[in-house]
Amino acid sequence: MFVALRDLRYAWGRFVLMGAVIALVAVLTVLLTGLSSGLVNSGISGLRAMPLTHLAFAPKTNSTFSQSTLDAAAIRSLDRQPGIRAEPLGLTLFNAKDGADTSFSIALAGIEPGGFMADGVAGGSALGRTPAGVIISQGIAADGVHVGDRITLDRTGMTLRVAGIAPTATYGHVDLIYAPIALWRQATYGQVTGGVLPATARGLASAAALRVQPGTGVAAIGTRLGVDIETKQQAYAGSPGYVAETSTMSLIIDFLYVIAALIVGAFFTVWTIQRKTDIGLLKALGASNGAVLRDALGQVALVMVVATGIGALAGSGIGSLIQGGKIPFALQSDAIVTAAVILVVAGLAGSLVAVRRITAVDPIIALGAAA
Amino acid sequence: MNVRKDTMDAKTPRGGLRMDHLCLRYGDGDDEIVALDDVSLAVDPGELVAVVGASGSGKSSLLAVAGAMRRPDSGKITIGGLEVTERQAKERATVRRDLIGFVFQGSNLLASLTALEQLELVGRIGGAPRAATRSKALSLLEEVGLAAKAGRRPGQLSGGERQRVGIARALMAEPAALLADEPTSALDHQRATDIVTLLRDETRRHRIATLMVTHDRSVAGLADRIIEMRDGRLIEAGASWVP
Repeated sequence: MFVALRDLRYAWGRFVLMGAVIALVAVLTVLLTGLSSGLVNSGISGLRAMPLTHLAFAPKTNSTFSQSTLDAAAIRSLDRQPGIRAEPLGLTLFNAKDGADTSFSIALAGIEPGGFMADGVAGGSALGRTPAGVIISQGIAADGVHVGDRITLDRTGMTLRVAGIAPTATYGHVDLIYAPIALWRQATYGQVTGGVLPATARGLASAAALRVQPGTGVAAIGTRLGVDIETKQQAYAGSPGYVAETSTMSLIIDFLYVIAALIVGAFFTVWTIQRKTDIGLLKALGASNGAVLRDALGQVALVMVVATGIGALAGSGIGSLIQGGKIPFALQSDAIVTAAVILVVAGLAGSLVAVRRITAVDPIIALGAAA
Repeated sequence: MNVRKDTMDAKTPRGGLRMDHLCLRYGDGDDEIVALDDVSLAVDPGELVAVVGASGSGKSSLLAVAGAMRRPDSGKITIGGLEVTERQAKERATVRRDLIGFVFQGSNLLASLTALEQLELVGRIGGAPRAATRSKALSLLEEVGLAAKAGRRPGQLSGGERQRVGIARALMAEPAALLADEPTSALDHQRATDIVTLLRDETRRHRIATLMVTHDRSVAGLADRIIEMRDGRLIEAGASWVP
């Protein structure tokens, strides 16, 4: 790094320019990472917070709550399997109105009062004390809905009474409302028959929430019982738009990594061409290829780490201003650090393009005349 | 590989630079160019030999082969008592680092380094301790009359001063042989004379075998011996050689 550090000091202007470009890429990467995390949270934070390890869906329903229906017998069968506890879980998207007649969208989650699902929801013990009592996500409370307020569901005209408030939890980008499973059935199936729950709908649920002990062969059980069993993480893909959104964001971020690699590769290729005589001189003085390469790559690493660090800090600062607003945005330090590390690695990978040029420089160019 | 340890007798009178029956050709068939044609030359420690000749006579090829930058097609090169002819590229780099000092045309200094750092760089390449490297670099800058300008970069030095730094840099590794490639090409007559005089004095002081390629026939006379190259062959011209 003897020459590399002095080159940085001497030609600071061009390295600042290069670093600024990398820093801007880092800012963009951090913002997109935050947006990606925010979209993920907005899509599946409610499901992620649920105290379950697996979900069982009806077969051939793409593991989506809107397409899947399980009856009570199927859920009981699952519950009887060794190493598995199963409870019904209903999940349906509704439009709703608060007392001020303000419309908003909700995801109504039906869970068993007193069951493990209710135990895992903050304030879930309040479920079932009153027939229409529900627990709302903090996101709804933030819009001015309080405990004791009424929420009316569109289409069915059912009225829910707010019995408690849980931390913000969303599914498919709308806030969750936890309701007793019976209330969920009434809301989901009762509308067809004018508010009277048909006998065929009794015991139905969208899916079964499962708590599976490690080592339990869920795949074989699922096949035997005729249900699709997926891990909680696999079930995220069933959230509306989840795959499309995460894929799009990942693609954009991946392109940024490629762009960073190309920028760094182009810069250091030009830089290497410009200092070809210097490299030849170093070799003529006896420096090995390895020593010259270490010097050059050390320079790239230093520029990348400093520029990415500055960019990541600036991006985090901007992100903290965005976070908490209407834009789904979540700054997660582990995601930012991962993105920064990948950016540095991408830059180093890009700079490898120049490596061949460095090793190919013949020390003889240090002599004035071609020999 | 540390060549220095292998050649502790390099500084003895038996050391120096010796080239025996060197041949070097470029191209083949009708395009073949004979750059060196059975060249033999011995430069003793403490001796400055000037090589003159027209462009294309083979001077640069001689320097490239003597400097372990090109392997000859045949012949033998011995530097400081060590035969270096058949060494691979990595070993040749070590030979250059430990046994050869270079003074390049137009000094060829790194723009980002100060005069002192130009010399320290050689120590760094050789893995010498920092404190000892700095002390030696300062001592050599003093020797060439540039101690007061140790902190200046090449752009802040005159052509003559840059070449003095180049000479001091070439002495840093205590080489057995010093190869100077047109060291006065960018200098006026007075400065050119000063530089070659300095080169001759340092050659004697440090007991180095110095081979200087030059177009500047007026300064060649300052060398202990003058050799003319013509069509890849050496012609001894003697100390009183006149162009």
